[in-house]
Amino acid sequence: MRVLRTVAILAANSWQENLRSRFFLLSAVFGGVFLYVSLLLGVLAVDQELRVLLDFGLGFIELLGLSGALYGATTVILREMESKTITLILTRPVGRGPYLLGRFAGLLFSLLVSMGLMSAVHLSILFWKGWAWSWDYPWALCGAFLKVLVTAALGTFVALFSSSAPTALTIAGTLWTLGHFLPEIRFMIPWGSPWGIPLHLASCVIPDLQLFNLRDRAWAGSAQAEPAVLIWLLYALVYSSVWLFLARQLLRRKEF
Amino acid sequence: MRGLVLGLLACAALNGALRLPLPPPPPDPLGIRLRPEGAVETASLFALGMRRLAADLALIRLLVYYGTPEEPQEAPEPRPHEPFHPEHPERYWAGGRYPELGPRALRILDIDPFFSYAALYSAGALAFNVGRPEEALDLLRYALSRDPANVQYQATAAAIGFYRKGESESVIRLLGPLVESPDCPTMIKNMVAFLYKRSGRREKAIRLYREILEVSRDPGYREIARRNLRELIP
Amino acid sequence: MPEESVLSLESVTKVYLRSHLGRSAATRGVEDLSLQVRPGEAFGLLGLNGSGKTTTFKLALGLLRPTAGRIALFGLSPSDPAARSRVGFLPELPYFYSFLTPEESLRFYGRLSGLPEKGLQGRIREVLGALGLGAAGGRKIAELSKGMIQRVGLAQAILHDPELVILDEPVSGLDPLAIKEFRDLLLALSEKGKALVLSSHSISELEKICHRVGILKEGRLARTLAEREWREAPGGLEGLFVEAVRP
Repeated sequence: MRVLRTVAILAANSWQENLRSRFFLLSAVFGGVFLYVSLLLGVLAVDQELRVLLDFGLGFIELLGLSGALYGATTVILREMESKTITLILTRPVGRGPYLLGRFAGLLFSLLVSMGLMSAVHLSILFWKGWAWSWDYPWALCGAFLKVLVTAALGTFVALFSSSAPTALTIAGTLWTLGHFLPEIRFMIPWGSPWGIPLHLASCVIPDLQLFNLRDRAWAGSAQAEPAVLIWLLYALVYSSVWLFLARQLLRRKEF
Repeated sequence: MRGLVLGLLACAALNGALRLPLPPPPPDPLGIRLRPEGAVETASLFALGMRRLAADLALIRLLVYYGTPEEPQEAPEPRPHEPFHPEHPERYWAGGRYPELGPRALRILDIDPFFSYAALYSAGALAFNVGRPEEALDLLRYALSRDPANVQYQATAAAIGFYRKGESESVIRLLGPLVESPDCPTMIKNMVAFLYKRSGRREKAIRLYREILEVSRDPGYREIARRNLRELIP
Repeated sequence: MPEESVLSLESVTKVYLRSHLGRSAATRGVEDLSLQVRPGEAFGLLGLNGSGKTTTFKLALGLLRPTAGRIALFGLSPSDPAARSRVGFLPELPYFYSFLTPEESLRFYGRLSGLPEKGLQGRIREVLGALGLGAAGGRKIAELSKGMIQRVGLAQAILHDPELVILDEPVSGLDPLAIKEFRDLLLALSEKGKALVLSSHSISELEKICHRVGILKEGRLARTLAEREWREAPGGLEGLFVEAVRP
């Protein structure tokens, strides 16, 4: 119970920091720009305007969420370590695990709110344009958020492993990109090629982010089976937990 | 280090176990044929997990391409502009050929095999407007190979066959149900509306032209619908 | 471990290993350090720059792990959160979140220290008032002077009424009036029965506050002096310090 309370306090502090920082302002600005661009492109798509609005909007909401996850996960703890604000927290009855979890939860909550707000604006535009509600929309958002969760967990580990925010951002960003290419890596790159073995080995541990492209599957049409949402949810939670656990182990060994 | 190794093994086990209970993923493109133009953009969008977005951009490019009048020197001979007539679409387009129409449509299907609007639109344009039904049938065959259960493709392919033989009733019979679908391109609706009008099915023609006016965002077809409604409704 | 100690270090050594371009360099922070702090005692740590004062504090609070030896905080390991719940710490340069006000900062730290919501606001006002920060509670941390930030630092250290307060150079950078006010605050804490462990370059401050002083030299405890000893020494604590650290 005490641990949960500690996590909640730290998460609330992270949320407060993001609220007062330019985090949301920048998200709102970028979100507005992208939605405006999508409106223009929708006009060019003529009868497929709604599809374009849907895809661009969902795509950019996800992109902003993932960018926020990458940046937040790779900098939040490192920044606290560099600025030494972590000292006054860890000298209190706060374990390193709850500290990590609290900061992670705060980041996720901030991203959830950010993506939620952008979705609200996106939905208003869609409804204004005559779109009929589909439950595939929240599923698509759910998929995007699961990607954010997995990416943030991976980014947190990489940040503590490398102890350098730019390095962590680069590595986590690369893993994020590769995570979208796993089926292609497995299909197109033979084991025997120069990059085959390391890429195939990497493909065993990199998260399969294409799994969470629920928006591609949802509207895919007649050949698609029902989404196995519980399995994806379990995968995202277990996968993220593994990397967070490893991050905790790294943090426990850190000295300040 | 031990923890890291255990963690990596856990992830590998997770990734491996994942392949067991899940339904098979969407079929991979048959080696995505990334043509030189737009290849970087498409690959970048794939890297960001935005396959549908890449297909949307490709469709927009196709629409812009097809909506742009071709250079006069590309036309076989100069022709004056004439009102659209589905049986002589080449006159409306003043002889344009749009040679990239088929390849561009194929590229869209490479990216998103389930983008039926793109396939139907392009097949319709090739068969009914540009006068290249063989290319349209090739496109639909390819689309069916990626999405075999798609009855719209089957109906359209059959309709093209009957269109070539001039059997309008068969075309109406096959495309009639298709126009009810939200994915049906306006040009096919317009074609069917014209066939309804010509065959005396006035009410059906009016209903379809009204639908085009209500739903379509294409100014050209909306104008056609408006004009036909003025004729049909005294 | 002596049960009556609030803080106990037994033969503690801390070696820092730094690697650079494949080469490692070892630096001893503290070596074979043993000291105990009793409940209610004010214990000072005196030493030149780099003598190991901050290292000692960080070891006591679990921010560093000892290379050798044992450390006990209220009989528990410093890594045990239960032990740290009874300690307040004022670092040499307290770093706060610039987006928070002193009041918000104290609320955050108070919650983390386990203070219940009910009564927290009252406690915050009490501590801010006692430290002369009543009017500054609503201003952003970034707008405060060094002296006021130092007071906020002390406020967060004592907010949860800890039994032991560790202060690293608490009067560093303060003007003489602020130093006197700080000293009075620390004396008041000591009179309430709180154990204090503080380091300082200011020998006179330690003379006025502490019951005992340990002198660190190059990471080793060169000498431990009781108040009576430096009061009776001709040169006072300064003379004894110079004698202890002279090469």
